[in-house]
Amino acid sequence: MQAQPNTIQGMILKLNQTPNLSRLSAFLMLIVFACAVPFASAAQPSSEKNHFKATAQTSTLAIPGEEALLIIEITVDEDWHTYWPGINDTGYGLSVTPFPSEHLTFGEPFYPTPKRYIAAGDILDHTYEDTFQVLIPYTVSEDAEPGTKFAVGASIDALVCNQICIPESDAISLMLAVINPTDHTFTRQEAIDAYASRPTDLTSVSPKWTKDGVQLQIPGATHYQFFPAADCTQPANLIEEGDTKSNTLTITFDRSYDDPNTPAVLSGRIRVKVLDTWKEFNIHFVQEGSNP
Amino acid sequence: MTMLKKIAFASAFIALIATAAILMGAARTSTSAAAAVKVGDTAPDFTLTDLDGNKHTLSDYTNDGKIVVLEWFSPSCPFVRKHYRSDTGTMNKIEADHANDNIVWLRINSAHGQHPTADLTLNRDTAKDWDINSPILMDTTGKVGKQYGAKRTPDMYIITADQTLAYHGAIDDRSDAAAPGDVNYVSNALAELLAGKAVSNPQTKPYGCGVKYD
Repeated sequence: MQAQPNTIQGMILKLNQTPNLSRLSAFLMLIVFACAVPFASAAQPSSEKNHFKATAQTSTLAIPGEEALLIIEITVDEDWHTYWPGINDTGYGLSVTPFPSEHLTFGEPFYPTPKRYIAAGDILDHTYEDTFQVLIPYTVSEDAEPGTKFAVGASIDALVCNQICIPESDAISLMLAVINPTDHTFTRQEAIDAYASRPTDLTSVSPKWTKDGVQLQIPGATHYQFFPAADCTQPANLIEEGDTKSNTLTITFDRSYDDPNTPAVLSGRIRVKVLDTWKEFNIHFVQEGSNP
Repeated sequence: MTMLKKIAFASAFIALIATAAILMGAARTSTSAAAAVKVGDTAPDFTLTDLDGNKHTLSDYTNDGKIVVLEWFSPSCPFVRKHYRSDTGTMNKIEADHANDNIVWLRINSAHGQHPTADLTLNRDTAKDWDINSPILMDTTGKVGKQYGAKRTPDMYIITADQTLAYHGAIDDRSDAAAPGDVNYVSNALAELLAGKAVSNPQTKPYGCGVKYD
């Protein structure tokens, strides 16, 4: 990818400012609106009414057969927060869903690692504040014709809270031009680097399953933080066990919400401090030796 | 005091401080673990005041042979609101279905006293708008909410006439704020209790807004 930051041919549109507008309707409106509005050169903010603002950008123009990123940047209003799409005590998780496109094949969105937030009453949530990016990889179809333009975008559903909580949604998109592989394109290198250095799957160690939970030990680790995914078995004591200065991550499960005869699942993201450096990994381990 | 005695005294003092710190830590841990009442436990008794200034004591109801439904409540929470919309009316429908049964429904608002959702006028107006005719109890110190381990609104508890917690969890099986779910756990639990059966699904994963204890 070549760096040429001032040749952006994208256009940001704002569409859906009401939670009730269906994604399909929003997408159709997007297409109509996109045809009527000339190209713009910079990202524009989304809904002014929401307590979060979102913009859409791509990491490059569309090169047939190549992978690029849809960059959804979200800024939550000061003192407000939204939620990690995993296990929290309250709220529901942020969801960023790309609109289907005949020219693009999307991969899994990458959500950044959230912060732990503990409120009175032993309420633990994993939250996003300020500005962060959700990165969605996509591949441009081989037969996309250079010179054509099409919309790429995503819907955003979030519960945003401060003193009160409000479900909010938005739909943002931009027009993407297909170019020849030899043509110059801009490159948003920071996002590309962030995606390249995203947490990898931890496969070098195996957890030790215990009667009530699981233990995970990474050589040299002195501190763990654990952010359970939605498919993780419910942790029993995440306030203490989810942030522990130890050489071992110990997670006790609460099996009262599922069938204790099925295998437990340790799934989510961990931050690990090794030699004073924090590293992040995705983990997904299914209990062995259980009797489903 | 000799140097040896000074060292011994200092060591004893440090040991005392360390022991106290360990005990305080243990107390905090055990408090947070023991604070939440569990299904099968005796439900902690409480007395709270409703929006009209009337006092309500849990044991008064259970001694009267009633099953008590506790709903942790907030007038501004979208997860609560979805069950009071005109097209849903989940809570009021269940209450109405059991109007002739020995059941009492108590809503508890545990938001701290300075929080906007603890405002009495807001709660009264909401009760009127949402056709709530049973008591909304104010727990502005959060004492009862923390005793029960209520973290969300709505967080549902069902207490039998012998003051045993028979159900704790969600109202239903849909955890977003858009619409009610297909399976109503509270309705099912009440039907089983009224039929003299044990609750077959006594604990489900609650969902909702956080209770604003601070």
